[in-house]
Amino acid sequence: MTGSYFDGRSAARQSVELRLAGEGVMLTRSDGSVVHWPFHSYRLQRSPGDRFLRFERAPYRGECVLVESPEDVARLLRQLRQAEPSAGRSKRIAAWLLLASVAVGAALWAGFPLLVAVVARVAPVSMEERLGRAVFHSLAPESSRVRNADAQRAMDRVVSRLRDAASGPYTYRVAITRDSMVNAWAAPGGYVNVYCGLVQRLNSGDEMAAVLAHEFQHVIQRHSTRSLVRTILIRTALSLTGTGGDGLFDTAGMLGALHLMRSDEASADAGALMLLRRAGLDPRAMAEAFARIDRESKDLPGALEYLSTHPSTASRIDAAKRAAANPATYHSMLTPSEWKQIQDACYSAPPSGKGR
Amino acid sequence: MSPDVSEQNAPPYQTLHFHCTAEGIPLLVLYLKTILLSIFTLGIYSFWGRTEIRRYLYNEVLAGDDRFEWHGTPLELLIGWLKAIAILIVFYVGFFLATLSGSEWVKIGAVLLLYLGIFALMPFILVGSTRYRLSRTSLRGIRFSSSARVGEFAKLYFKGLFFTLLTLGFYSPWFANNIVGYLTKNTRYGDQSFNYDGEGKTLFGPYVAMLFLLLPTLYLISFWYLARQQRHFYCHTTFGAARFDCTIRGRQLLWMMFSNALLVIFTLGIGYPWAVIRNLRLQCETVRLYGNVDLTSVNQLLTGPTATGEALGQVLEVEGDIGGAFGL
Repeated sequence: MTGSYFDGRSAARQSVELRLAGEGVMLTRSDGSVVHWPFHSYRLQRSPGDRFLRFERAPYRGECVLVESPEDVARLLRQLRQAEPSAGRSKRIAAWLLLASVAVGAALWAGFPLLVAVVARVAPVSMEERLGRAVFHSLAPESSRVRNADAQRAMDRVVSRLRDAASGPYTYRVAITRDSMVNAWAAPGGYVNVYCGLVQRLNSGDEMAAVLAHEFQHVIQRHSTRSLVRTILIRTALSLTGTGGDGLFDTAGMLGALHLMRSDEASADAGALMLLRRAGLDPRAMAEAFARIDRESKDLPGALEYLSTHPSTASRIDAAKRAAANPATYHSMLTPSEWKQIQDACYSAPPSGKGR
Repeated sequence: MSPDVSEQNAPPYQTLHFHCTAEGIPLLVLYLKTILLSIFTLGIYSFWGRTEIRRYLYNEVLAGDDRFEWHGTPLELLIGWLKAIAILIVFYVGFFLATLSGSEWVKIGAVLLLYLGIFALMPFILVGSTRYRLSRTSLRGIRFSSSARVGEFAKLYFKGLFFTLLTLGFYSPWFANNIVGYLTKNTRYGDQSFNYDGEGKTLFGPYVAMLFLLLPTLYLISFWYLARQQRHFYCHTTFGAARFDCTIRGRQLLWMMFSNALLVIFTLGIGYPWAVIRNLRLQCETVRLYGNVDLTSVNQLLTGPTATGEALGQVLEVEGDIGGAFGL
């Protein structure tokens, strides 16, 4: 079997004879000199379809033997399979790749939620406020907000009472936007938005307070921050690997990022019931509000979507009843006329109805 | 292919032709294997797959009777990718924080900084990728290398960019010529250097003609200019006593682009490997090295390029770019 030998020092090509002998390959060069390459001293490079073979002397610095005759390639491979101890290099690589994939998969599965939680936990409030402001101005722009001085005053009273009861580092900004969606959301840093569609389905200031208490809990417990951080990290990773990730800063991307998990909703419910009690408000208002939305809005996809990740209405009513230990001590937040001012402000504003 | 006698004293080539013997089916198999295993291994296999594809394409390009070899390793690609990702993350985080700011000026400043940062990295990336690609390419066991320096190249690059902007683009023939010239002059095969004697002014006339004809020809004239430019770069490149020659024509480039696009679209992507090979084949068939091509006098260069600066270039490297093997 013949091949071309390159010594790695010059580009000159020498013809060599190859044969397998003594646990290796014996090379007879054109000048008559003979060298022996043990199996472990070279690396065999095979081309797809075995059109040629290259024996690369390790560590590879250019010294190699190239065999290109199809008959010689076939014969050499046959002999090597019988003589060469199975190095199992490709099997080792496959095993390492599999192990690395499992490790990366496990790290992502277990480590990613932890990373998200840590980033959301250590993010300073000022950072949350900047993030929330960006989302708030994008999803609830000034032009879409309800502008009514009386309604604003009434809302401010609700917010102020809840804020005093909640304490904490956040300054809450609540907007009502002209949209028929039965929905509300909280952005990081204390920014909360309620759509007119939801306001119109509530019955009293206490129910409004319950909705806000629930949203405030998303802020306090940093659910929105965690959700945004999760989305940002995933999209950044997708973008860096060139597999997508656009659209974080558009409306759909942000709304998607504010979509919370059922466990977050349950936790916000629990916190909201305590907050309502601390504020001297009837916790049962929360269950009543969600029960009404559930009852009256079955034909509204937006409303069902809002409720889809929340705990069931029955369990909410039970929880609210348990929380309302002494109903006599609770005082209504707004008078019916004050609540009507808020609702009227919504009714007078033309709903955009753009939907999610 | 293999000669029967030693070539120690064989006469040098008078004309060295290049050809590509790659075939579509093996390349398709490699691509499919890479895609499937990359999905299965959460992307980790892609570095191994890309290396295998590159090795196949290099091995199937022949200079005379000799195959080019690719020596890059998957781990190098993986490490290079991690480094590039780390730098990109810094850019991303900075840009993201700036977008959170309420001020429009800060946002505009961040966008400007982002582009300036990319521009500042360009010489580093271009030199790094050239050095990496050449240092991992060999022919007859002898490695190619580049002695290009980031500092020198950056001066040339930013000066060219400045004059190109100042002259509303009319300096670009000189800019391209100087960039290619610098990289070519710093390319070595073993201990022998390539040389370049092209001048930007040769390309100025065709460039102006292209500008005038862009709209009337619906930009198709740009293919003619690309071919003209490619011929210029090759024809002014020498290796020892030999000179490159290139016969590529604009109509060939246009047909290649058009037919390859049809090939990929109508086969729903399956035809992509064939498109790669057709392109590579055209590049090989239109280039030759003529004169006294004495490869036997080339010796291995013992000092290799440093690893610094190569990492970013690794992720930006173009697969199957045979021009890189020639230092162009």
